[in-house]
Amino acid sequence: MPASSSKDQALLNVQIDTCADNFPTLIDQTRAKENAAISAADLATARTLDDLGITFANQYATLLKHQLKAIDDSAQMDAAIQKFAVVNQSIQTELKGIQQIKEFTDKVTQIAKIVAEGIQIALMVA
Amino acid sequence: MIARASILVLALALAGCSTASYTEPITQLNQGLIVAQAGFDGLKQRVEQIDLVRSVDDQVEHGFPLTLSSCELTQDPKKDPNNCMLLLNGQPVQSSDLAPNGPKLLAAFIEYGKGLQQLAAAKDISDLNSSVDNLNSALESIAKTSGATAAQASVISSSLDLIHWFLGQYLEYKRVEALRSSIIAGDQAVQQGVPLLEAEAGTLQKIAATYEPGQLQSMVLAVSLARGEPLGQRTELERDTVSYQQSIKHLMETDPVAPFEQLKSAHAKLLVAAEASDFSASDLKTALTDFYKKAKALYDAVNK
Repeated sequence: MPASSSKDQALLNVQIDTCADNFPTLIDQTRAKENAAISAADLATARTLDDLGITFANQYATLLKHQLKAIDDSAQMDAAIQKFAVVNQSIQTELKGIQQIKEFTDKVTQIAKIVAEGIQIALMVA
Repeated sequence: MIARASILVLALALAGCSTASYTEPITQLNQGLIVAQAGFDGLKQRVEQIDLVRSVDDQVEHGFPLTLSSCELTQDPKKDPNNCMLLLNGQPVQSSDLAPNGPKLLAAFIEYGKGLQQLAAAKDISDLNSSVDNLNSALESIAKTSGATAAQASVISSSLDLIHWFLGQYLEYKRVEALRSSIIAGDQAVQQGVPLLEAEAGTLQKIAATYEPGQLQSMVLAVSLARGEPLGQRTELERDTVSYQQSIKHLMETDPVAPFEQLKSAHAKLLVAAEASDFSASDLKTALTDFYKKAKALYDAVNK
């Protein structure tokens, strides 16, 4: 089991900080789609998006106050870096182009899941 | 003959020094600092409370039970710190300290402002020396909180010997000298401490800007979901939603960093005035007034 290096840790920190910087945009976009769902009287989807907004606020708090777990295994470290990198990529490039509420909801549900996995691997949650 | 001439020369030199011109800008600075402190503390409390509610909600959602400890009439909270506490999974619910340095810095800035005021009003050398001690302690506290060591703090010289002869004008001369050196030293403290205040105020607003619209959004959805509810319940929810929206809008439109940026700029002008012993410049008054206005805007935004 190869040990993770401090360089990997620094890279993970950068990805997490970038993710925290991206989260206000993600939350804002989720709110905008929730309002679109309310306007379309699709209250079930609005509710799902509202729950996702709350989940994102909680994840944002964890990212902002983040403290890394001691990760000895470099494969675990790579997995965590990869997850946050994927999330950053999705928020920065993919979300803006999604117009359909359903497609957006599916995408942000996926993002919430990946962030939760990344947090579980890499971060201590107070 | 020579002694008389010397006294005359000294008297003429001292006659040019007066603390009267310092009074107004120092009073203005203090008013601004007090309101800035109240604004910052209010923002911190507001954001920490929202963060606490969010954290409780998150943990309850993840299955941790929220309970209440015994609530008993007690005179001494130190004896029973867990009296009447919310408990999450048996542990007291505690808020995070999201801005640990701001309150310490602002308390020290207030002490600095008070020290200047005491110095300007010092009635004798002993008063003057005690004001200088207070000022040095405030400046050291700012330097320490900003990450500098106490030794790096600008320390004001208090080598003021007692001279009873000619005391009235001599005291005035020393007061002016001490005020000038205090403002010069204070400017270094302002430059050291304000960036930390700006950073913490910015972080608090960033958190508020993320959590609070989220809570408002949930209320907006709740209004739609309450369509079938009795009118009274709906109206109450709508009233709360409108009122919360106004409060958030006000906060989002206020820049919490602005008072501290303005403090830096106003103090720089105060420094120029102290170095030139000229407090008549209108831009100094304007800068101090702007500092007060921006601090007041933050205070109002947080408390509405």
